[in-house]
Amino acid sequence: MSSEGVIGTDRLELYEFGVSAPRICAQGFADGGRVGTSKNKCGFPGGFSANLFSPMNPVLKLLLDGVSLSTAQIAQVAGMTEVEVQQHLEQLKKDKIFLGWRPVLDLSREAAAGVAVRAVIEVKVTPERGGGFNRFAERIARFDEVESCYLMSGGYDLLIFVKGPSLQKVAAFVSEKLSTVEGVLSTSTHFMLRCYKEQGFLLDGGEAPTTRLNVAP
Amino acid sequence: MSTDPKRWVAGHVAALPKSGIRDFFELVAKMKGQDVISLGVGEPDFVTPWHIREAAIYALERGKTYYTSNLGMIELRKAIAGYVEEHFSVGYRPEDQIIVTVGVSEALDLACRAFCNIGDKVMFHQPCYVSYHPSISLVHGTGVAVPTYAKDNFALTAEALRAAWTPGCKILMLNLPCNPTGGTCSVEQLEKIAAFCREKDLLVLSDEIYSELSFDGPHTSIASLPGMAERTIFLHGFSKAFAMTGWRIGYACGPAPLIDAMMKVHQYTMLCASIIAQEAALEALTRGWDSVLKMREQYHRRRDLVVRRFNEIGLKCHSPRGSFYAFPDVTPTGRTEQDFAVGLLQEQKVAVVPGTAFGENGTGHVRACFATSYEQLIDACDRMDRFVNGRK
Repeated sequence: MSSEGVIGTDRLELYEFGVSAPRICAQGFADGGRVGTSKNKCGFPGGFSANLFSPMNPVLKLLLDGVSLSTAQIAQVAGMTEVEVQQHLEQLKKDKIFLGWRPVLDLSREAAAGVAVRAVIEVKVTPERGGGFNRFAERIARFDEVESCYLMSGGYDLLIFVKGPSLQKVAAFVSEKLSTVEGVLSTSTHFMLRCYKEQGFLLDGGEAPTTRLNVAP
Repeated sequence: MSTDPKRWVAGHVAALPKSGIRDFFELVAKMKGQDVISLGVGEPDFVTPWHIREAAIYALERGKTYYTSNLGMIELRKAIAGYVEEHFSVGYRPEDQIIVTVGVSEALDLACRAFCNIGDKVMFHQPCYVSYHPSISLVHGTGVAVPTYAKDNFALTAEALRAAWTPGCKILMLNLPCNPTGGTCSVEQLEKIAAFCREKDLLVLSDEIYSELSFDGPHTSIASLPGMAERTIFLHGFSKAFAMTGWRIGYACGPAPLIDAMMKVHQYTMLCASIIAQEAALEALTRGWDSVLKMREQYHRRRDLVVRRFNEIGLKCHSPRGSFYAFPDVTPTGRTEQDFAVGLLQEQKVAVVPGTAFGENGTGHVRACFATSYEQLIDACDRMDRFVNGRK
């Protein structure tokens, strides 16, 4: 499934199964989000003002909390109509804050094994006069194999997350595509062996089923 | 000669009424295996934040398995002093004005045993937490219930307090925000109550376990009002704000001679609170505030959701200013609270607790705990709607 495109019913259905997480552009907060201090007296001056990104679009807030709700449920929780929720989502997309939905899968499971090989690659590049790292980063990021791409501080320049159907395919991408991009000085590829937590979801267990009493004082 | 084992049960214990909660618990337990949504719980749905659990595991790994000081670990008492000063604006000395207890329940019991003579009158607002009146009865005190009303959002008023007062009243128990009503007092109301306590020379036992879960403005502790710290035992704990109910860890703060009296009882009965729970509590106070804020925000939205839905359904429900309980009026349905709760459970498989489990002033109301996921709350509200309005 593409991360682009309009929010449609199909994606919401996926979300209802509790397997998808919204992709939200962190840079989108730079203008709209006011970072508040969370430490205050036991009470707080009204509303949800103690939040990190406050005041915030209530729909966005629910998405960020990773709450698996349908649009109808979001509408109830946020105290709006479903149409209003849809409008909020559309606006967030227009503002390029909310980029789309992706399922969060446990790739060790058989059904998800088609995309089972993942790697992180540290890339060193020579920055260009005029363009800095941006041109490289944007070029590398366009490859389908690249899931995420970040400019980093420290010992290397770009960190990219790559996904492929087999080790060979990922290796071929590194040797034939990535390392041959002009300006790339070196790559260091680390294949992921096992996942313990994915996008906030604990794999293999997590919390035990609740033993909370049904009725308690 | 009688062979009934009950002949050995002390008279005042035999006379204690069985908790209404217990009856309802048994009713719900019978429905095991059915798709029951319970709004009858009295604790957070969140598991204790991992960093707190991890600190307890680490403490065990380091061999922290011994008794602590009767008053509790000094490091924890220092952290409590800092926390209470910062959040409640009252200063207590860690050395002799703070005692760590096995939950607020133990602290309340210690206070009753330490301060209540046989026959002393203890006032408490009602509806209230189920153990208040029994705690008084267990020390042979006399409970004096002060009603709170839906029209006041279940805030305790000084007028009601004065009306209920009789000579011989010595202690006032407060629970603000209140379980089961979510009611609390404005600063002005609290000041009037404080003035009344000073006038009548009442000792205040202030259980503020839900204070962090205040949604409509800052919580004010009665202990922070002028002339009150010296006549108040401030009771608090970790169960609600830090989602640590099962750890059983709380504390009491107050004037040194009073804490010393409570400590006397504590040392002969409990000795000390579990060291593992104390270590976890220390971690909670040191690094747990962000988790508290996150959870409070969830409760806040859930409160807004259930209060809106209850009112839409036709159950008159004030907006609880604190805690995670809504206390709607079910009389518009033409049913008593007991009929409503039993009918709702049997017909729609939603458990709420009849208000009379929290005293006679809970008549006509039920307690619905909103410490449950949005999905469950929405489903429960839909079911209640079907129950009340017959919609399919």
